[in-house]
Amino acid sequence: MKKIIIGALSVVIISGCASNPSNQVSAFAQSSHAITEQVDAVLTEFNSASLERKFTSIAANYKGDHAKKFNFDVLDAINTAVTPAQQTQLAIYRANQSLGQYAAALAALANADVQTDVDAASTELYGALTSFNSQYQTIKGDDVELFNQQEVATIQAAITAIGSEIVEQRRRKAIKSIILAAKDNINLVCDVIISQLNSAGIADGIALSRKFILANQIKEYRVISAKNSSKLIPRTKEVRRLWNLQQGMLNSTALVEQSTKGISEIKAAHATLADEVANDEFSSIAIANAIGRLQQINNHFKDLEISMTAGE
Amino acid sequence: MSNTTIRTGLIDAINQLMRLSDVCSDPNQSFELGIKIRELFQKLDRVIVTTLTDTTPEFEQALVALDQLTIQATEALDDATKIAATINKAGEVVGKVEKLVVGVAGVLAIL
Repeated sequence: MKKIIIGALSVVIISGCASNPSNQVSAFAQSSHAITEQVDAVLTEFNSASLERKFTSIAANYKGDHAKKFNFDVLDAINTAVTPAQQTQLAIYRANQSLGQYAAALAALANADVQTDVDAASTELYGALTSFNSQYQTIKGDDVELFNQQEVATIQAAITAIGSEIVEQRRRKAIKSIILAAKDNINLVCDVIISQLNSAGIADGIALSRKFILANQIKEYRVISAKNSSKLIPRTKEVRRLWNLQQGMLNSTALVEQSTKGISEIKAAHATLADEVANDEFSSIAIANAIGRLQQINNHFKDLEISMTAGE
Repeated sequence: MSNTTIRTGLIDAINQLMRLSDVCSDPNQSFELGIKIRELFQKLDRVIVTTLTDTTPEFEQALVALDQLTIQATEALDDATKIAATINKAGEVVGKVEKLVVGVAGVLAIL
């Protein structure tokens, strides 16, 4: 709690010092973008655990009399659970990417200094909206667009209205239009991502792969430690490493839970932002608190990452 | 989500086979168990990123076979003479789960 308050205060101070009143929008967008990148890391971890499991499985299996069976064909059979090409086809991946793109576009618009910055933000935002529509249709299995033509036109008109000279008033009006037009749809997209994260069983897959790796390393430890020549200090070091691996395995669920929490927090923060800008408040304690919570999630992700890679 | 039951079935079966592999003293059977565990894991990876159709007879058959495999592996923990049959059963299960995921392209995954 103390960290949240300090984080929120920091944001207020930073925002207060900045010349650009849209700075809190930018801070929200950057924190949200960082969370969507961490959610991508769940899929990366799923792949990584699967691949490491395959290496361990083959190394554990092709030994003794069976070692001579190890050949090119065995190596050929090793592949990632989800190839990079397949990953880009996953609706959850794309929906999350679109959410990140939307956040990045908002940040770019909030920070735009010249017309070319606005144009770049506009392009990115249009790409995010198009992608949202495509993923939503795929997930729902129908032709209903998430952002209808009128909503897209409203957003585009708001950006165009900023004009060639960046005037803070017009920029704020554009940001307000975008956030309000996107409010309900961002909620829907976040709900879909959360639902998919919860139901796909990715955490189970990561945890079981890690358990398999650990089980084989424990087996190997037994073999080495059974020798009379084995020494206490190296054995202790190895036990510590195995314990760290076990902690990483136990944290597999936490990684997915944290991702779910992160997306929920983006949804809540965006709703707060929408409520505030609806009243022409672009810098407030409520927004600062929401950003503080997003930053907390990002910090927790970093802790988890350290915990999960310990012992590797 | 329709893949949940198959997923938990695979997880239970793999867990039991891992326990069996841990106590198996026959190097050849241990080798075969290792291969079957690897194949079942590959099916699990696929099931996690796939939406399965749970209304087909094949789905039900795969579920039943997975349950049977878990039971056989549990029994084999106390009776080594049942290990060979468990390995055969694992091969059968791999085939049945494969039927569920084959042709389900990546584009349908996690949708």
